[in-house]
Amino acid sequence: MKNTLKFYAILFLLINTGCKAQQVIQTVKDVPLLKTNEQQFINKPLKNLLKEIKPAIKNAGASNEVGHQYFSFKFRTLEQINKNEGSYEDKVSLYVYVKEIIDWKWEERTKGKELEWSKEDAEKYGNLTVVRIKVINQPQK
Amino acid sequence: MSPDDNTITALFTGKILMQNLNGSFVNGYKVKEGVIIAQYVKKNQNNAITSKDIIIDGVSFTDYDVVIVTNYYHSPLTSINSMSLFSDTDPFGSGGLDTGMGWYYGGAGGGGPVTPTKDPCTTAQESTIVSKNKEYLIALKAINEANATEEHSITLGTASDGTMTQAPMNHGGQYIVQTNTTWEGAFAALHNHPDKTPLSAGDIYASVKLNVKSSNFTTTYILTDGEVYAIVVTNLSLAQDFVKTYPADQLPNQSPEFPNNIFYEIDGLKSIMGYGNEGRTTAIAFILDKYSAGITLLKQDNSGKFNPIKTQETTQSNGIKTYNTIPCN
Repeated sequence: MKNTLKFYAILFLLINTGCKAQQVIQTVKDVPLLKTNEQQFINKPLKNLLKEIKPAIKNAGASNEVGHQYFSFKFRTLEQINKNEGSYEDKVSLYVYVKEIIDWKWEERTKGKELEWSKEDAEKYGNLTVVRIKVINQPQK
Repeated sequence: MSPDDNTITALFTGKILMQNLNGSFVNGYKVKEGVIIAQYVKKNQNNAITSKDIIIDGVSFTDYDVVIVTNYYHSPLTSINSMSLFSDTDPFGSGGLDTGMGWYYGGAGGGGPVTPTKDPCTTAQESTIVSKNKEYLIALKAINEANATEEHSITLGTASDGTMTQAPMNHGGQYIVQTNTTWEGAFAALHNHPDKTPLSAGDIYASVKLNVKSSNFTTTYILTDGEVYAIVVTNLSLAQDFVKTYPADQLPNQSPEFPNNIFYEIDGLKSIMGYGNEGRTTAIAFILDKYSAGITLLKQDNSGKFNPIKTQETTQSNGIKTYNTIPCN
């Protein structure tokens, strides 16, 4: 009995430590690391990638294009984007291409909150399969 | 008249600022290769240039509310003429020289030759006329009634007697269809997008290739989600420059995309203009105009009329940019 308790205590400790493992993207400066480590996420669910991002996604959209489907994740508010405000690192955009057509329609999003990335979105799209990652920023002046 | 330091082109690039003898602001323009791309407009009468100047794009102005009105038509009509320089009136749509402005503008006169860009409103009118032709309507119907999970293409041509003709329909796959480029008198082609997707970067690059191959082949109609858009090459020289400077980003066996810098800018605008087909197309059109791509995008309205997708960007004094449609008169 004592041994069983010890086993579970150690198991709990290990799981707890694992869950609190540091995310790859601690700040927006780290976003390019997702491209560097792209292979780690290819053919894996989107949720695997999302859980590695600590900074808040302040703006998210989805595009189904001819032959491509991708999410655009930004770390600035719409007003900051419009005014081109924020630090250079804040201006980075993350594009995550998925295999499936994305069931995301601008016209069907809550008006005024179209670009909010909610927990429901994370759940709804979390199982889509990542096939490509792009990280782009403005040219540095 | 201050040129940009790094300007090496024959046509003037830089800023033109006009003051009265007492230093008051009169008018200002930003010029790229002989074409006005923006006008600095004063919003009130407090227009003396003082030590409280504000800087816009390196240009000093007094602290009145300055609005930057961007001209994305880039047509020769918007080239500067001597009458408009000292006018407060909107230069866009007003007359002008048919040539660009050379470095020696104001001296012996004359600039380098500029290939004229077809007026977007005229372009739209021409597409409207085409879309009312029986052959166009038959082609449209045939594509709409074909297998909706594949792309289909029909090329339109002009016979020697001037009547419109149509080539047999080409059938493609989910994301691609071959355009018939050998049809006699080919000037346009229609194709559909099965997944209701907007016109794509691939459509833009393909349109330029078609026009390079055949000088009359200027127009690509895209049928998507019950709507019709058109891509028209209105200045082949500029279009070729654009695709050379910003070549498509294409992975093997994948559809082309815009290169990263263009892609990023379009995506930023989608956040503002919307991720629907119209917003996304408007964002592409805006960037094509910004980079003087020599390509006009059109959208057909409910009455069957094609309209150019042209947007005016205005920067408010608080830094917020607003975007308004520029209608044809």
